[in-house]
Amino acid sequence: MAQNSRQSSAANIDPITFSVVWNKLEYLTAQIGEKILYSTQSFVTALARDLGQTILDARGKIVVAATAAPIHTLVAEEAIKGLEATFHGDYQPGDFIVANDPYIVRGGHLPDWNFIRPMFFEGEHLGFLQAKTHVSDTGGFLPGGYGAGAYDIIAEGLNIPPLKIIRAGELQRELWDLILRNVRMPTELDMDTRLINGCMAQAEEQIAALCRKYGVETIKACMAGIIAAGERAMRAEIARIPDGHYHGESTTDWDGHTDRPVHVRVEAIVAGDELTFDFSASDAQATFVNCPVGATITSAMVGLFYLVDASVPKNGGALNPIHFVLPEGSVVNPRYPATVGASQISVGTQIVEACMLAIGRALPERAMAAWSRHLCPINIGTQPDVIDPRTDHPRNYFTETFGSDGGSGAVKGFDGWLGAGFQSACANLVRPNVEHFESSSPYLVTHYEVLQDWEGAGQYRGSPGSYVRFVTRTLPGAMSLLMTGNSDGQRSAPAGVAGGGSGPCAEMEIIGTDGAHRVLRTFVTEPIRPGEACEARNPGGGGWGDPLRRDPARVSEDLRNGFVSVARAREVYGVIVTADGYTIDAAATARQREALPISQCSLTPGPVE
Amino acid sequence: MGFRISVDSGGTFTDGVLIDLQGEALMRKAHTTPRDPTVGTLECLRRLAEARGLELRALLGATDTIVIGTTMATNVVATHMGPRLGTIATRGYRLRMAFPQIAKAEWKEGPADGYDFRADPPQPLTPYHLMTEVTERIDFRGAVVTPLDEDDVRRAVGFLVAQGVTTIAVTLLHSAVNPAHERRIGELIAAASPGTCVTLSSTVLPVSGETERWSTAMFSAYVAPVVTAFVTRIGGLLESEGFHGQLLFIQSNGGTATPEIVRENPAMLLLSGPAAGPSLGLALGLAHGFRNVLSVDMGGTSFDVGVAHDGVVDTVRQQVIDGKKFALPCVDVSAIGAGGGSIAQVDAAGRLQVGPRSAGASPGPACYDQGGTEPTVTDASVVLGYIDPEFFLGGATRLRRDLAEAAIQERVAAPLGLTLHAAAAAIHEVINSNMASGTDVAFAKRGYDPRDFALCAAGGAAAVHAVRIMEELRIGTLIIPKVAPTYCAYGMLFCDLKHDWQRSYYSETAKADLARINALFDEMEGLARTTLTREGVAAGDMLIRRSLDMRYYGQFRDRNAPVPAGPVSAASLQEAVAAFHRVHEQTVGYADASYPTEIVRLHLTGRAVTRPPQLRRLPPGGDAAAARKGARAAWFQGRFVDTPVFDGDRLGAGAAITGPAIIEEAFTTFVLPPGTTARVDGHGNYVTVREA
Repeated sequence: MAQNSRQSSAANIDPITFSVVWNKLEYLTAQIGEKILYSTQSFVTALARDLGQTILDARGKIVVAATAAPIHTLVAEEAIKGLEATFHGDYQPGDFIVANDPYIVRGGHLPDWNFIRPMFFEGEHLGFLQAKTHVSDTGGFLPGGYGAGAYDIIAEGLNIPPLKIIRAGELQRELWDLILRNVRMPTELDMDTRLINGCMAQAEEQIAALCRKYGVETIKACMAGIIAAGERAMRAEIARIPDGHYHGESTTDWDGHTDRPVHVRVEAIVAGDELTFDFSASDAQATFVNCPVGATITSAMVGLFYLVDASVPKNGGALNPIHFVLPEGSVVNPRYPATVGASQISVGTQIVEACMLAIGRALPERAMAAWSRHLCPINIGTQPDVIDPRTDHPRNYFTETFGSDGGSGAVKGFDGWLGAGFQSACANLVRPNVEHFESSSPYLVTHYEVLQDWEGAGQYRGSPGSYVRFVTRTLPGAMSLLMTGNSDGQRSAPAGVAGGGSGPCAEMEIIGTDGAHRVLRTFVTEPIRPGEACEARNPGGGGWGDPLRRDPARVSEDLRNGFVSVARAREVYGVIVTADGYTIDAAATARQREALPISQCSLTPGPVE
Repeated sequence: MGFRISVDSGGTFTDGVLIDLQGEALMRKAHTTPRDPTVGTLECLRRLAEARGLELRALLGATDTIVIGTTMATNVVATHMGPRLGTIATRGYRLRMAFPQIAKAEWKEGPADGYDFRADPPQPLTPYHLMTEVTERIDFRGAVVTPLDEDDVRRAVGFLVAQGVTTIAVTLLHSAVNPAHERRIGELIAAASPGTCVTLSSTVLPVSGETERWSTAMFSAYVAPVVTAFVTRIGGLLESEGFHGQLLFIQSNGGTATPEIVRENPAMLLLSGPAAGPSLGLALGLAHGFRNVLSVDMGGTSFDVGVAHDGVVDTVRQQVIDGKKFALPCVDVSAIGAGGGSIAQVDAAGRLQVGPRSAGASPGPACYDQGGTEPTVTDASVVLGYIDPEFFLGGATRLRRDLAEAAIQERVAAPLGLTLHAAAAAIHEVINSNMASGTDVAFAKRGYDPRDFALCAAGGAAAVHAVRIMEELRIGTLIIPKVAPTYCAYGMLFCDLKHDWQRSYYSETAKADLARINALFDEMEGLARTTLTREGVAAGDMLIRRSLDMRYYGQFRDRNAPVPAGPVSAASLQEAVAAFHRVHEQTVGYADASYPTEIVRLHLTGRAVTRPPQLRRLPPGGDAAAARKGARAAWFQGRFVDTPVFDGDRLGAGAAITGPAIIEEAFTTFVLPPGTTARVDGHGNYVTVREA
């Protein structure tokens, strides 16, 4: 540690200023995000914090990344590469750029837009402020950008190469109108875009104040020093991983068109203080579920960050010792014009899992079990009885319900978190109030519950699963669709680690007014009619360690809370209770644990260590 | 007659302030007695009586007003030491409150790193198995979808009572729109189990949005028994000791309330502790011509920032406490993890981090010699010569400079390759910058510009850092109150009776039903006037303030906009809309006056104007030299400077001191860097004006 820090002072920055400037840049990055979250009209951003902000230096290296949705922060460098290819350094103060083209800015699916403001101090280009966020609409054949069944990326929505929609402070009206004319919620997008620029302009002014106070050269040196600190910290972490090849893999339900699962396979190759993620064995590009390169790199880093020490700065330096082998034409590096609609979820989640599981094999004490997948039918439709005052047309809605609350996988020492959502969101996805959901969409949510026996077992168990049921109250004749392009996990379960069990697979169904059940698959769009109900059951996360070593007191508590049944306690955890249903019978438990085979994890589906 | 007394019962100490009709003030401290806070409160009053040369009975008999603030309710929540709480929810929602209410990023007490899940998530105030559900359902318009199954309610109550539950929170969907089922459950509980305390979510917070309403109701139910017991007991004790004046309590909203009103809404004492400080900051600011005052209170572990804008102390409608939402109005105090006890360490990336980890009162800073080995901000203050180790707390405690030096040398100087003194200065630099940045965030989120504010810095540790924070924030005027160490207790004497109400009202602004809005405001105003009348306030002394929560159509979060006094008209609504656009422009740098807006909630605040105490005027004493008590080496601008030290208690009104200088009082030390001047005002407060 001491040696590391001396290097930072050797870079000609006084360590005091260095710390002060670093803290300040982190504050400013966080602040941009808080302002956007508080003001945005994008459902997903406002309520699920689907947003990531970064400050980058003039070369396009991430200096600081906010604690937000990592899939939007660590990808920032790829976007700047795309920007450079377009503008070749031609930026002016007051420029504001939007882009979403996955084959140029290499981010994720089309509704995730990059908003970039080149940052200047007294005419000198200092770097970039960037926010990437899920906008309310981006055109295409369905709202939301998750529509499975698109022929190609042109059908998925508007493809926007880097565009200066504000040039030196002047809105490029015709250009902007063309874009707004091609999205469903033009007024929302217009205001959100301009207020993001407003937030960034305020931050730019504060960074200018920092330059005035400490001198611009000092600020630049600090930025370089912060990046260098990230690299040193990451190298130190990798050096702690034993050299070797570690395999990880994960699977998505299907590709949305042909009925076959899609595999992500990675070899994590550790050599000294460098790490290579080699995806050569992953499937060839598929329909719908492909992941653009930037999102692949980011997802891999998310998997890694879950396991390395929390103090590693999440910046461009930490990316330097990590190398990628990403065969062109594969699901992790598709060729234009392949669709990428589900990319952050499928196969983005699979990339996170595969990399996390691979490194987890090298570091079982640090390993984290997989989280439940995103499982969240999106409600799309119109409300003819509600006139939107912004457009004077009947209201179009596009909202998510509550299916995705499964939870996190366990780590050594701690059970998974109930309702933490899916893995890439880092437990920052918060479900809206049911009362608000019901007053803004024609649905009645009748159940929002914890599922019994749907956790991945373990010495530390995964989160319990969750169950949501809602009934449709649309007006007869009004359009009402359920779109599941963001959902996954009906055929592949969240894996346990270090001997822990997997969760079960997810289930979704529509129940007709006649009581007949029909399966609602992932990656489809289906109508749901008035009076029909939709049910979603999402498993919890995977477990860590042998469930027979789980502290019986914890099992007792799970029994009392209704998270596990008496039968599962007996068969999987080897715990026997008295007639009240939760008091431990210690002697009987000891006998049961002797009698059971070493691990009963195979009782649960999915891969086992 | 004529004494006014305030008692602030904090985590460790109970501070008391007594002011007589001449404005003469006394301060005393006693230890807080967490098991029974009335003991510490009475002990503090006894010490005040003794200092005044009176028996307690004589003092209380001559006292008009006693104001009490307490962190008791806060501590009950922080330590999960409340009653055995059960909940009754709508069927299908038994464990709704077990699901997250907030993003992990919003959970201040949780792991700082976004990827760190080596911790348990926030825990609800009741075990999951004491959460029950009953068959019933109301929709968002208030229509009954499924009638209440009363047998189900009896079963749930029977189960909870059998489990030893003493307090039940009733939390049903859409009860803010139609509270009938909640009220009926309340009646059924009263019939089945008369001794059980009941809290209805629709009573505590009659506003849509179940997680906020239910969580707030659970907080309320959780603190109610202890708050009610304390309020009743202290009232009885004071009366038996001869007190016949008005007893008041400080509420989270920065206003006071009588015991009767507190018993009706005990949750309003949840954040009673720091709520009074900003009121004093505002009073001092007003005395110097400032209507905008930033009030900071720096103690051992936290740096509390409050803001008064245009003569009104800012409140927020929602806070996250212990990972859960609390949605009653609170004085907007942001706590930043920075205090005298904040620990300095060099992290793996070579960054010097100071706080939020704190050495607290035990083991405390290394120089306390109580076993602490990690360097803290106080240790740095000792090494830099700002704090005299022989005169800490007026000499009551000796500090060990050698231990402070050793800790800083080993943990900061060596890893950073700095000299001891440069390392100590670095600790100050970082903590000052963190406090300033945290304050900046508090400003920015409201769209305020620090340059329009005066800074009032209080708390034992603040005056060491205040000038640097002022510079960092580009603030022009700094006020260090004479009463800095007992800031909140003192501030309580400047708080008015104040109560808040809110109602859900949703409409596009263009289609707003003025009759309905006015009916809701009238209802709330009726409640406000009744309450204040019960508290003995004359109609002419009541102030009513109305506001709307508004947003652009399509936004998910709202901003508060005041409406002019009197019935709401089309014109006054337009003023509110204009105010909304203004706030939006200031906070995010963008607004669109042509964009449709909507109203989501109505607020009404009823306040009584109380006459603040008149403070004694300090005799003039322009000659500072007479108060000089010595000199010592203190670190400024990279070197030690021979710095004169003054005895603050001997400075008269009008005295001016130019830095480098140190002004010492028993419980605080004011550090004046070179080139800054402090002037003593008519009441003994220090005022520093920064050259632009």
